[in-house]
Amino acid sequence: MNKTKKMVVLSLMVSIALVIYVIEAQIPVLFPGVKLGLANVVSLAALIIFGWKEAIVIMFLRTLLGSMFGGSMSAFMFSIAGGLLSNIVMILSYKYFKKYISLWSISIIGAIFHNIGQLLVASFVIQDLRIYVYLPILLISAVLAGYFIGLCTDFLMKHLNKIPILNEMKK
Amino acid sequence: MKKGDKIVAIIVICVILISSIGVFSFMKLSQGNHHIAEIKQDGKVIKTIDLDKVTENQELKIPYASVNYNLITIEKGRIRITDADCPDKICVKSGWISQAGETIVCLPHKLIIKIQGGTKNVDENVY
Repeated sequence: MNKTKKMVVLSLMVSIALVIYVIEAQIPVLFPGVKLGLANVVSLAALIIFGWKEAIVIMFLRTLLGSMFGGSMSAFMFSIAGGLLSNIVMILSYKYFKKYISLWSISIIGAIFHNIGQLLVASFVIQDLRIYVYLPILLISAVLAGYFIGLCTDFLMKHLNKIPILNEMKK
Repeated sequence: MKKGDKIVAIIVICVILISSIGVFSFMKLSQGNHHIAEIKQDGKVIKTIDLDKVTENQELKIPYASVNYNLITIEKGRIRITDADCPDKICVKSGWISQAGETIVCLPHKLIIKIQGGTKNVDENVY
C-alpha cells in the first residue's frame, strides 16, 4: 500500500469531517448541548476502512481544526475528551464484538461514551456534581444520534465498498 | 439485527432508566418551601440569594478572567443569565429557572447557578 496515497485519503477524510462539522454547527439545536455529531460518520468509516490508529488520528485532527474554526479552546477540551473516550470504546467493541453486534450498536455505545466523557470533563471544570442532572437527556439523545449515525455509516460503507482505491486499503 | 444487539439494547435501556429515576428522585427530594439560588464560579460560591425575598429586579455582572462576563438577572422567584460573551451562549438559551433542583451552566466561564430547596434560612449574603 502506497504511503502517499494513504496520506491523501486520510487528509481528504479529515477535511470532509471538518466540513460536516462546520456546517452542522450552523444548525440550531433543540436542547442546549445536544447535537447530532454527523462528523462521527467519518470517524466510524475510517475505523472500518483503515483501523484504530487512523480513526484516532482523524478524530484528533478534526476536533483540533474544528475548535480552531468555530469554537474556543475550552470547547476543544470537551470535544477531545468525549471523542477520545468514544473512539476507544468503539474501537474495542468493533475489535472484539464485531461478529455479535451491528454497526449501529457500536455507534450508540460510542455516542453514549462521548456524552459521558464530556460530562466528566464538565463536572471537573465546574467542580459541581449537580451537572449530572443532564445525564438522562444526554443519554437519550446519544441513543437517537448514535442510531442515526450508525445507519448513515452503514449506507456509506455499502457505497464506499464500490470504490476500488478504498478497497485496496482495507486490511 | 444480530443477537448481541439485544444485550446492548437492554443494557442501554437499564442505564437510561436508572439515571432518569436517580435524577427525578433528586429533583423531588430537593423540593422545599425555599428557593435559594447559589452562584458558583470556578468551584467557589460567589453569591447566595434567597429568591423568595427578592423585592425588586436586580442585575448582576459576574466577570470572568477580567475580560469576559455573564449578566445575571434576578426577579422574585426566578433567575436567569441575560447576556454573556461565551461562544455558544447555552447559558443564555437556558432561560429562566425557578424550581429547586434546576441549574444553569456556563461551561466556558466555569459558572453554575443552582437553586436549592430545603428549609434553611439564608438572607442575602456575599461571601
